[in-house]
Amino acid sequence: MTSSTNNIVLDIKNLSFSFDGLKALDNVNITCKSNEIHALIGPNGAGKSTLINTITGELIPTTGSTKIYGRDVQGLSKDKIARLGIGHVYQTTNIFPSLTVFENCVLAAQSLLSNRVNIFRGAETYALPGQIARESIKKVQLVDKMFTRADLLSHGDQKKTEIAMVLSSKPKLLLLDEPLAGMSGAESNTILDLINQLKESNSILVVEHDVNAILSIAQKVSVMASGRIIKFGNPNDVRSDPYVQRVYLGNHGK
Amino acid sequence: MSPIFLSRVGCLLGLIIFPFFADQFYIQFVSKVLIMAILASSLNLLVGYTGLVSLGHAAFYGLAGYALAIATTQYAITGFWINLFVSLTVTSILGFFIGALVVRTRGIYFIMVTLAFAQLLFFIFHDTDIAGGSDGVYIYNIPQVTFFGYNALNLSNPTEFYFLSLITFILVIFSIDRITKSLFGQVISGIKINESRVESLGFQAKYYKLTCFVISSFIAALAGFLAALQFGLVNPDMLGWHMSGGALVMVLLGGMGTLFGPTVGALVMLTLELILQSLTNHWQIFVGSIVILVAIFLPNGIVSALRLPYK
Repeated sequence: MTSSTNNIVLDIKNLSFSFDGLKALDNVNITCKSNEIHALIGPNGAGKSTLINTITGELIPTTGSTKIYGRDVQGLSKDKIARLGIGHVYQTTNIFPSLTVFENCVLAAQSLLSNRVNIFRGAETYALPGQIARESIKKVQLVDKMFTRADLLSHGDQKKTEIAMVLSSKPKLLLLDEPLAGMSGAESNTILDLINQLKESNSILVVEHDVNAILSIAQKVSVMASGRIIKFGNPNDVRSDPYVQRVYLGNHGK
Repeated sequence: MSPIFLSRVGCLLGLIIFPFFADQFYIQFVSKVLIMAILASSLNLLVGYTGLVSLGHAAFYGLAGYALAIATTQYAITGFWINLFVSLTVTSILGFFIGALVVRTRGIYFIMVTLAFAQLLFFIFHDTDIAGGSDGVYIYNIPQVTFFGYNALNLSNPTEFYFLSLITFILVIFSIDRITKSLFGQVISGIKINESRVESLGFQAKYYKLTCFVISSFIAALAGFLAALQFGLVNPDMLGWHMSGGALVMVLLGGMGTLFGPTVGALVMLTLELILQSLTNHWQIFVGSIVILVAIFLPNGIVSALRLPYK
């Protein structure tokens, strides 16, 4: 019992969320462990992003519990939950458009420093944020566009910027909401490789529509439909499940 | 040495030697410009750097003036430094309490709530006998600046008052420059661009906004304190929305989010007032038209036209 609970990073139990009478999440259970990629797949409107948003505190669930490292995070503010070590890559790219890629990452890395900063000390005198930012940008292979304003980049590069930015805040649990959306084949492979490497130091919950791609690197898969987890298992179990093939893979798989 | 640095040094030298050649009227005028530049710069911290549009900033400017007037006339506190301390402390405490409430709101609500608090304060001083009602209070005994027992500046002398304003102005600009280039400054500029993202990166946005609000009210208090000293008079107009709106126009006119934009805005606004007032009774129509033209053709303010990277 102890050894298996010790590496549990995220533990969601019986979580439900309703808005306007619609049950967007219905009794959802999900567990994410360290050094593991947990893929969350399902058709549009299944409730995948809603689930992610209840973890980060953006939405408050109606019932159920969300624990991060054993700590109940229900009712905590968004920034407090983030400081527990959560990094969120949004479905709709959420970055600082008027800043450069580097500035985006430096700002994120600053969150690792104390909130009580000396307001008269120049930001450039802190070496750590810049160093972390450079490492993250290298990981997503965006070094050549490091000093370009983010809003001038292609959609795929903006997504990479967001991933690099989130990595700069050194999260332990990464919530990736469609990280491959809008990327070319080569870019997708870069990001897939990156996610696979990040597993070494992180726990990852990833929502993705490119099912074949994500199942190739995931260890666990949850399939959602109409707010419920309809199937949970390893990638092979999920691929071969007739129900899953009918509702999801049949339409979207290659 | 960069041309920006040289132009700054040039302006500073000009400001230092100017009172030795100018008429008393212009010395007082430039002092007033410097005081309004301090007020507009304090507002710029909120509007330009953090993206919080306040329409009640005169509350702090006016309250600092009233604190000085009440302390000198009703409590016979005559020292300069003690008055400065009281005035800044009272105003910053008010800034903290108003700030703690208003940082919970955003956008149009932030504008309305700051306006409401300022109007509340306006009517407290306007409709009660705390400090002379609508007539305000005269400050008969202007405190003299002393340094270790020596009389350093006689503030009734326009030139000596001018130097007090200039020193304060330089300290304020220097501080704002440091603050906006600090980690704190990076985070507030992040809040301006994308507050929700700042929070999901783990920053307590409310804490940063509140700190910025208090710093801003503190600097506005410096301006109000100086204004009360210069005119020897405080009245409820110092707290009114006209004053808040005027400061906001200076920020927008000069260029928000730039270090010297509010100063340029204050200079242009007060100079236009001065010139047009002597030509016509309907001068406000012309000031308004010019502001509209600048907004259309230079949406980033006058300093953007100078094409200097003053950010």
